[in-house]
Amino acid sequence: MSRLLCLLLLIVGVTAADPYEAWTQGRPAESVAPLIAHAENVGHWDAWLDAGLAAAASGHRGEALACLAMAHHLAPERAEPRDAMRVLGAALPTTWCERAGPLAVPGSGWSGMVLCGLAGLAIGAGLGIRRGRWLLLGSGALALFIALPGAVAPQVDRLARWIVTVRDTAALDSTGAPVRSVAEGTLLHRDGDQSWGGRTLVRLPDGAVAWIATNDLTPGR
Amino acid sequence: MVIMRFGLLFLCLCAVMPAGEATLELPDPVIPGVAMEGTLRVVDPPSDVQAVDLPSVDGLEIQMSGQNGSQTSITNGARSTVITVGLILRASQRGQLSVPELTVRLADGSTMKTAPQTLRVDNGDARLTGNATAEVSFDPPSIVPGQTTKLVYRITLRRGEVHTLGIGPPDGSILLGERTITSTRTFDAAGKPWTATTIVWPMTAATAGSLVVRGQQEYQQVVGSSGFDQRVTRHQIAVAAATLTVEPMPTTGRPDGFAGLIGPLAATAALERERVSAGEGTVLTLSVISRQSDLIKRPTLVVSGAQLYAKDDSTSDGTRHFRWDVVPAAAGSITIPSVAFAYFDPGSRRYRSAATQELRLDVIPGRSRDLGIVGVALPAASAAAQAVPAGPVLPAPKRGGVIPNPPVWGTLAALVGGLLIGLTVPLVQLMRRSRRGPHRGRALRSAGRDLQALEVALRQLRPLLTTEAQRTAAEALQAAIERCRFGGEALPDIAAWVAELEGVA
Repeated sequence: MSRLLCLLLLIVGVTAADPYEAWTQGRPAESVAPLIAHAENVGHWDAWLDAGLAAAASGHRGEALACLAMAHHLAPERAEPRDAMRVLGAALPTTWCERAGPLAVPGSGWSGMVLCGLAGLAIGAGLGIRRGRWLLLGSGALALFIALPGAVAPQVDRLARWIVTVRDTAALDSTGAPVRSVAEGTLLHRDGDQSWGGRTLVRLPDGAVAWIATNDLTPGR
Repeated sequence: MVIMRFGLLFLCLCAVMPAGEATLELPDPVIPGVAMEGTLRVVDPPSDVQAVDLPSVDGLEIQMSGQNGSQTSITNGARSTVITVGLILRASQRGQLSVPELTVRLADGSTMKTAPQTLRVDNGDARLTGNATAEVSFDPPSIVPGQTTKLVYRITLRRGEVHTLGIGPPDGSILLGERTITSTRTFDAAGKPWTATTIVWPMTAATAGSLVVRGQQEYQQVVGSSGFDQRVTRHQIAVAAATLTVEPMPTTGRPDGFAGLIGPLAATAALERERVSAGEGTVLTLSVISRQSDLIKRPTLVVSGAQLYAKDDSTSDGTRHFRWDVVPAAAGSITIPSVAFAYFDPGSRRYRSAATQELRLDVIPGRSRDLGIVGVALPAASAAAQAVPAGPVLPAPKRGGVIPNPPVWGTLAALVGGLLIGLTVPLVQLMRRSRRGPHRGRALRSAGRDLQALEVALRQLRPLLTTEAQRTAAEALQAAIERCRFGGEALPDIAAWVAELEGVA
């Protein structure tokens, strides 16, 4: 039984296509769909970044910005997605992670997790014992203070839910009548969770609220 | 110097004194042969009003009505008094009358004057009959898709007030902003005042066709003579239909670059600096003024002899700005070509274009300077690579070579987990201590010189003694305690015996 399972895994491993293969052979457009499928499957920010870069290499600016916006949402503390978005012309405002700068480094990612664990350990021990209580509580509070910018800034950045038009489309009012045209690659702000009739409620760059066909927006948002 | 001081004192007094004002409020128009009411308002007079000198105007009779009033209000500590003097006006024939200034005489001997006015004497609005009228119209009544029009709804009431609006923008229209509501007073043919409420919606339509607005307007009136039999009655009046015709845009003469812009539209171009040195750059700004500024796309610009780098777009006050960094390749004169924006002119029903003016950028040769360079010569880079500054580039793909981030809840889980683990440490210590029981040696120390406590601690400690020295110290301490308790002796210094026994757990 185990041999059969190993054989099956070997066959799957051999036959599974590398999503980067066409890109490495100079055909990035053929890699976009497999890379997006791969990114949707694994849900990692770097997979979305690669999908966006492949779309940018194939000249699909809207699709590229849509994938990069996903990567930015998943890892707002990483500079690569937002830098790539700006290179492609998206008017992404300064994020809180950028504002925090090096202050956000200790508290973000795995180091932030370790720091918060140590802070919890120190505070928990400090609450229970008498000797050295204030030293432990102070150390825990200091560790929390150091971790705070890096832990909070990405969460605040994630609240800004950016979505992108993947093709030229039109902004609709609530009756479905077109209000204005929206160019491919326009960075929009999702306004709440309202979706209706295949349309999504968004906030346009000038602050106006309108509906846009969901199929014309970032996939998966 | 003295004159300057007096001047300053006068200016200070002027600033402190309240600025009085007299204004004349007259009906517009005055109906010929009908006695109509006007009001003279005197705001913050320096003293009480004694008399009003009414002017003599041919064809106009002005009298005091006797309905005078005074109102004082205090806002943020500032006191303000308004005195109103009622007037009756009766004009004999239609036309324009000039009312000269009215003089208000005050108790302190000073006077205040109103500004001269022109009075319109005309027949009242003959359409105002009954108790209410309502009419609706489009301005302009015929547009093309995307062109702005106004839906104007006017309700005039003899008495009462509008309950809810009976009509609004028709289905299929696109609202372009908030409605505006204005309320004015008008007069009917008999000179009776009416209240006119005008509601205006700016709107447009996306597709050709006709849009019709019709409906009924409800209004309410209070009837009854006294507080006991007063009641509110509601009435309805029909609103005559209005039609907006949306004509399709003509297909003939439509330019290739037409993006749906409706006129009026104006475009200008400007250079930040019109004269730069070689190696320097400047900024080109194209500004397009249009009511649909969001529809305008960045034009493609090619300038011979210079490289253009697009900067951010911006929109402010209905003007769209496109900016480029202009980097000249060499010294000389560079012409920035004219850029045209196609739009549809609804007035002439034709397509037109608004073009920017042609600009000239003078690039003067930069200063050269001899430099002494020491080191190994590198291969010469191409001229293009030197001229074009390196712009930002896209990052390299990761290809899965990134350690995935911890989950979003990981930080909070680590904090709570650490807290729980930290709390268990003292708990474990507490459990171990309770299993082992109290430290008897320290109990002896804490007993101090209390004979009873010393006796108890020593009794508990005795089974744990292991060395001869401990037993000797315990015996000596026991003997001292007994001599003290039963022999009446004072307790000697026991510190040495306690120190010997203190270490016993």
